[in-house]
Amino acid sequence: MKNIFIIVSLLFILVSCEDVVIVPLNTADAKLVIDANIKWNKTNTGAIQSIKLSLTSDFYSNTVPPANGALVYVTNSANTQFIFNEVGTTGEYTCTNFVPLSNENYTLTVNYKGQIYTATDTLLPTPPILNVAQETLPSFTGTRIEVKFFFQDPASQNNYYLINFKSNTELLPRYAPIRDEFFQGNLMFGRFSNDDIKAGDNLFMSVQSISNRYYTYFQKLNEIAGTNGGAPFSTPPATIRGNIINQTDVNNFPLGYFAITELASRNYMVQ
Amino acid sequence: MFLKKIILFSCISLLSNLSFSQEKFTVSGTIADAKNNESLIGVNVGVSELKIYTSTNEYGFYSITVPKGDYTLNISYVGYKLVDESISLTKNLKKNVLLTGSDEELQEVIITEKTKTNIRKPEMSVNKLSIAAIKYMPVILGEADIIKSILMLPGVTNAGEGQSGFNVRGGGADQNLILLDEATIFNSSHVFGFFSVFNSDVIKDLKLYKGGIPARFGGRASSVLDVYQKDGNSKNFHINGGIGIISSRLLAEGPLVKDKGSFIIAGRASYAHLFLKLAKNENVAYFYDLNTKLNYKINKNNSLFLSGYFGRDVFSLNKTFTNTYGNSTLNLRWNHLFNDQLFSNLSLIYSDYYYGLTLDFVGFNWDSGIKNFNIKYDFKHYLSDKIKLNYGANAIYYNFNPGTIAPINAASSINFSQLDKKYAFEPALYLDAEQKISSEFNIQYGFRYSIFNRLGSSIKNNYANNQPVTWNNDLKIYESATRIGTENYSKNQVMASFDNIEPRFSAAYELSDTKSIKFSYNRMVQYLQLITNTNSPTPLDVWTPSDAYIKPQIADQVAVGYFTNFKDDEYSFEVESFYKKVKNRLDYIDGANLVANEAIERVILNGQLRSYGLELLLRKNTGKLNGWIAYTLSKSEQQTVGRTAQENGINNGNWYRSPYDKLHNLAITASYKANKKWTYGANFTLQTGQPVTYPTGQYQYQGLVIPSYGLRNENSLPLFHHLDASATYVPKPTKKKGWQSEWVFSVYNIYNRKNAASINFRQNSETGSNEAVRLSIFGAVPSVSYNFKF
Repeated sequence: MKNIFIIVSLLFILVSCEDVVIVPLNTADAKLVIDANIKWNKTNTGAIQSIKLSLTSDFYSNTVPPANGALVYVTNSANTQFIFNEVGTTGEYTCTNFVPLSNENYTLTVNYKGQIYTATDTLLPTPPILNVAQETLPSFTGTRIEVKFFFQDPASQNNYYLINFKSNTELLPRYAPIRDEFFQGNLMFGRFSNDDIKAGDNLFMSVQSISNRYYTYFQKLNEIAGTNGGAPFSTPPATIRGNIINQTDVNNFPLGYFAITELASRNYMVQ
Repeated sequence: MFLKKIILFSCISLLSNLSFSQEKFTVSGTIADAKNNESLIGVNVGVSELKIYTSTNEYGFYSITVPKGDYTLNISYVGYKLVDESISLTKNLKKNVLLTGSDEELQEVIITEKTKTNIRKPEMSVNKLSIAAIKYMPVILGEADIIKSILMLPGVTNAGEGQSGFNVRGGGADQNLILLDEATIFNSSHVFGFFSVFNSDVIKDLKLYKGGIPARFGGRASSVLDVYQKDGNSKNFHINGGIGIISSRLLAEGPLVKDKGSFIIAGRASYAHLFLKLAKNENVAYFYDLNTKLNYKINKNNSLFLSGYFGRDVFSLNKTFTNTYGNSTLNLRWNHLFNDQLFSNLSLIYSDYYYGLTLDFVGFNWDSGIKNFNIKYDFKHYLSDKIKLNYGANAIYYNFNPGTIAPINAASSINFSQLDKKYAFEPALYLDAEQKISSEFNIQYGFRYSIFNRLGSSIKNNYANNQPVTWNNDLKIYESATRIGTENYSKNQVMASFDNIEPRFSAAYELSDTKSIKFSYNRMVQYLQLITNTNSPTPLDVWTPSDAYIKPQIADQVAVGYFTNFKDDEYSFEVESFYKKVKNRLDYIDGANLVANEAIERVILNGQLRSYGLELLLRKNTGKLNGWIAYTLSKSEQQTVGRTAQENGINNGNWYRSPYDKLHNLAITASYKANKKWTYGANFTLQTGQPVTYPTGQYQYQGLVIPSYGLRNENSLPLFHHLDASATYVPKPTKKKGWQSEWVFSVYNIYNRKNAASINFRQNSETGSNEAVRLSIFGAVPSVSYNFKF
């Protein structure tokens, strides 16, 4: 909606403008952030996985203070434990012997500074990417390249997907949570387009089958994340709660989400 | 029970009045403009000797019943010459009066002059603006704008520049009943709020009720904006129009049958898109509207009116994105005079709001809207010099289409989908009395009884424990529940039913000839809810009826005020204080997704809203310089507590600032008539910034920077203020026939204040660093428009 708004402003030859301003902000006490999106790319065994622990910080600081010295592990339904060890003091915890299985339930446990955090998720199968198509479309400023990839939505069940694009023309990754509500059982697609991509550019694209809850979580995240913050028609922002519970002190909730998914991906060179 | 008591009380007070039988006669008639026969609303008509006063109704009709005798009929109205007529009442008398303007000019009505506060009438919290005063107000891009002008009144704000809707006394924009010739307008804006849907050329009169709302109005919690279209000149044919930067207007009016019937037709269209076309740009953005009205006076007791409005906004980007929306209304009215004391009006009203969206790149076409049919019968019964009754009934049938989703062509992978249509029926009846208790004390009291039935055919979703929103006690958040089943309702079967008695009361006590105190109380029930959680409404917000999960909003408001005119009525001063509480105000769970949501109840909680404040209005009514200073000090807060002890509610169940909370609001407007050729106008607005939520930190997830937030609406945008000025030049002020014209020059936001429409917190897409970005919509905007008439 934000683009519409700006374009409307342009069309009406108004002097609407955006400028960077300094707004003094309060900083709340640091919270634990658990970035655990475990992806099993079926082209490999999925044995190597990582989870990132960090702390919230001052909005303007641009730094991500790591959360060091935590005990991190994931268990499956057979109670097999996969330990994630910290790499130095980076806050990045890796596992080298992870065993992913479709439709298996997994539980994440984090012990940080004496508080125990847990979350569970189910690894859902993801349909493969069938093909990638490229088109050149007219745009507001001329033409732009659009790349779409397609996958088959299974009929007779509600599915949720997380689409991801990474492009060398953009600093930030793009995520789009989508669902099959109006596409039940049809061919679905992920779509990428910007004014800068040109022949020879690399594009990474992927799709993950996700839970309804993670879909909702990512939707809310997208509203306020990155460059989207506070567009004119957006909803009032709020802290977004994931699926991780602090078992020691329920009110001191962590941020982030534990998701475990199958990933279908393609690397594509723009024609 | 309560209803019975009211009726009983009404009957007793009526009887007590009627029992003093004495030989009495009625003088009645209509009052119109001598130039064009346009009936005049709200003209003061009085019998000086008895200090009995009334004012003309929406059709220019008045009626006064007094004992036999010789009197002076005193008629006064804004911008017109006073009329004093001697009458001898020995039988019922018909007295139609034509008023001549006190100053002949291009405007039909000249600013103010006797706009003094009516201290006598038990009417408070009501503002009337003359269309001429609106036209002298400097506005953005020179488009005279009714909605923008009411923002200069005490107690009225909006969500900032370029935002649609308005907020009255800390209420939501959805809580305003906006009527154009009695037909409901669901979206009052063009271009997402830059302009209003009202073409000021065709508007005769408008009145904003902020409180003390008469019983004949119902259906919205906070206010009523009652707008009347002109009838059209029944003497001569005229054309007038205007050429502005954004749009042009053309209006034609004239007699159908001389002195008996007339027509008016007015159109307005923007043309910025034509320049785009010239520049070979494929994008389109325009709006247009068309107002029409026909009226015909069948005989002295019967008149017919047919009026209509049609407006649309169209946006299209490269034909990949097309968005169309707008209102249409059609209204047939029949005025019938049963006798000199009983006036009636029967209206058949249709109105609809349409919103359509086509997204070519997704192969998606979206239609939504609301249609309603309203039949309304109103009576004004001028019983005696002491009592006047208003009573009537109406019934509205609603048809809501929350969304039809269709593939645009065979290649699209979208499935056709129709979101469940919703139907409702809202009948109501009302009775109220205006009574003169003593020469100093006037009261108005009554009630409205409203019923609302949500009807089939439709499907009701069922949830465990009847709770569409569940509390996740592990995560301490609200979540949407999963449907456990559905119930099918057949056509016109009642799915949910509500009924309410809405008492209304107001009183005025005159302390002296120039001072009075007033009190009012009203209860308003709102059965329709606008589903929105942005700060101001957007065109794609959907209206939804109350049902098993969404309860009607019930507002109670009390207000007290002190009113005075001084220095020979040159100045007026009004102070009012109000307290308003609204039950069942919708609140949304964090991050609720509202667009195309088939089960909207799953993101909604019922909360409450309260607002209170003090309004001051100082007005200079006469002279070369006139205008007003309005200041409002007010709070508006909302609260949504947990339904059980376990639940936190929204914002931990505490009261928090509603999006319409503006502690300070100062508005100054003035116009100065320097000479016959030049008139100057200026506006100044200063108000507390919009409540917003700023981040209290940031973190990273999957390579994205996410701001983290504390409680809702804890911060405010920077102070909002701007100064605007206009100058109107009439080249040939003495010319009264043939081509007459004027130029309007204006500058909006003279000192180029960059008011923040929003402050966005984001990661710079090039540098990756976090920043706060202010979006300001208007800097200084000069404009010129040319108006003509012949």
